[in-house]
Amino acid sequence: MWQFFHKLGSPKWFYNISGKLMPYLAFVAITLLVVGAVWGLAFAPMDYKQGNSFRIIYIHVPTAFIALAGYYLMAIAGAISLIWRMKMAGIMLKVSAPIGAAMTFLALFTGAVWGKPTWGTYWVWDARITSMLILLFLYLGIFALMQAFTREELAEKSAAILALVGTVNIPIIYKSVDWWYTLHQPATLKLTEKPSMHPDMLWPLLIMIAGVYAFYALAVILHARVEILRREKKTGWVQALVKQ
Amino acid sequence: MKFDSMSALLFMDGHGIYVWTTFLVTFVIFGGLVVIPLLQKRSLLKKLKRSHSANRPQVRMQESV
Repeated sequence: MWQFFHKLGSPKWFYNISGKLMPYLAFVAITLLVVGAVWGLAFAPMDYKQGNSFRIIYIHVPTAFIALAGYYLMAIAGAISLIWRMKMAGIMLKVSAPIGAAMTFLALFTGAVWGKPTWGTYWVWDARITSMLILLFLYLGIFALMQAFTREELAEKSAAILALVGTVNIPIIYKSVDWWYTLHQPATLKLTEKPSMHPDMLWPLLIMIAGVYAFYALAVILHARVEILRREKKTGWVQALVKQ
Repeated sequence: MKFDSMSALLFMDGHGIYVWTTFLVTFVIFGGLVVIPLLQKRSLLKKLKRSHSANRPQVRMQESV
């Protein structure tokens, strides 16, 4: 177990193993996303209340899920890099910020576009939407902090602290639809209850969620590999890689 | 398919513009998340290769001295 933990912390090991894994991951992600998107766009039945605009759910919910899950990943990476100064954790902290920001932006953007035909407005300052906007600013703040210092150590430390402080926002996002009166509908999917959706609508959603998770993993790996090469460029194994 | 024709699929009873916009923007951003690191990696490797071959003659000179 400890040996595995140790290996996981080694950029060289991560670079090699992720290079082997990537083609499979890319295949899985693309297949799931294409199947889910086609199914959701053309074959899922229309919502009786919202009409066809509900099809935006197939982007909105998966990206919102990964925006939150990605924040956990980033905060945990931040904690590990603070406590154990593990190299890979610092790299994960750095690369997960811009990807998380992209996912949060997509959740907000698709929500805004969905709001127009459904609520009659692109934007309202309600609890769910505002707390998601704060999440976007947290991601952007961490991304900016990582670029702002010339000393990598200092950048990592401050970004890790901001990431950890920002976790306060996560339960607020989850609970915002229950705590405050809001336009946003309550959660469609819950772990503890049967989903309130018809299976014909639910299946493509589950496939899209799995696809976006796989895609997120792929994006993190792609970004991490560049960051590894950048940081390890003076080491023997990167020099050997360049020589090839 | 739940739609009678391709144009019905595009129009979606007036909601097509909203639905297709979100899918298109997502497609572009997802594409960027893959293409940007690939381009970065290529330019980084190119740069490292250049500095690697630039360093080589110096090493030889030191050896011959």
